Amino acid sequence: MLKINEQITLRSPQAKDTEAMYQYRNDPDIVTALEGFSKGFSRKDMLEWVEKQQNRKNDRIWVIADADDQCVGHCGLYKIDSETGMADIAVCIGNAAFRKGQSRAIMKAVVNYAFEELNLRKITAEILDTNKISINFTKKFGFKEECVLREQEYRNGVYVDMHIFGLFRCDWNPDALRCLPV
Amino acid sequence: MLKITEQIYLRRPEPSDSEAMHQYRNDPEIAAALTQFSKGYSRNDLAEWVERQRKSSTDIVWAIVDANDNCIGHCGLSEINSRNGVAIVDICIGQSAFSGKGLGEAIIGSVLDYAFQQMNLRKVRAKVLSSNAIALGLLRKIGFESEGILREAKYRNGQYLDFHMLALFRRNWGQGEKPCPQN
Repeated sequence: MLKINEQITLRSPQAKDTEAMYQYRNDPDIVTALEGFSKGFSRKDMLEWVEKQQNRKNDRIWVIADADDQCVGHCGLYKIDSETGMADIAVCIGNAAFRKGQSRAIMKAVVNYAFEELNLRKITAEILDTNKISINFTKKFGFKEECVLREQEYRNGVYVDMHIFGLFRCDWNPDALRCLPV
Repeated sequence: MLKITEQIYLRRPEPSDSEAMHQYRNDPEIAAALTQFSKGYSRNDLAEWVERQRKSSTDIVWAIVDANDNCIGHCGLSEINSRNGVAIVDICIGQSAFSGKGLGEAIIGSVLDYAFQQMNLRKVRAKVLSSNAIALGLLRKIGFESEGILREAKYRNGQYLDFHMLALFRRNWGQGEKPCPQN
């Protein structure tokens, strides 16, 4: 459990989160922003998803919980690879009220966890070109664009580019162990 | 079965190819060029790999075979996504006697034809280690274009290597997209 501030805590997903997840993961605006295809989720799908999280080896997922311990979104590190010290980061804030004020604090907590707890050296983020808000936010946060996979995903009748961003630990925290010189 | 030349064909892998694969996939030079981390392979690992590929819905693997039907390497498409129309091309020529003869270009060409004209894919990607200059040159020659460099994304022999991300669209390959026939 990571307590971020008075309003927000990151904790393991629980069965009671399924209703909140069912709502925001079927929200068309959120579905459009997320990578990957969704045919929609039932409540049972969400419950299974929660149960599966406990057994995932290469992913570390948290529910974003508000002051009343209600799920308002989820976030995590995916495809954690100890050989390269890399992982993908994803943050999905289902409740719009928290999106504006808390995105930076949530991102910061997950990035810190990746570097300071898991000892990773690089975090990547994959973002669809249509999600301009996330692209700008990720750049401002310090990520650098490394690739643009052109026309990579089909969404709402058009092929959309996929941006891949990277953040190295030594760029995030100058006091961290330096990256190996090239 | 896809014919590449009089001497070289692509066919589906058989468990009996695992002996040939065991030779070249444990070759340090070949392992260094491939993108996956390898702790080495037993014959059983490779027989299991062939069986997994046979049942996979997202990957197609072909054995590259000579005129005597001996496996000299493998190639294929992975991460096939038919909704997006995208896949990744992979190739590994295991016998050095067959490399440097334009075979790689011919094989990738056949895999691209298959991807675009049979599977109706629209984009084929390639991920190449920055240390693999031969593959990079070959893919660029075929017409692949860079989509970026994933920095320090692989650890090999004490250093981090970049991944070059390349892609080729159907409209830039061969005759491109064919229009519907007129009635």
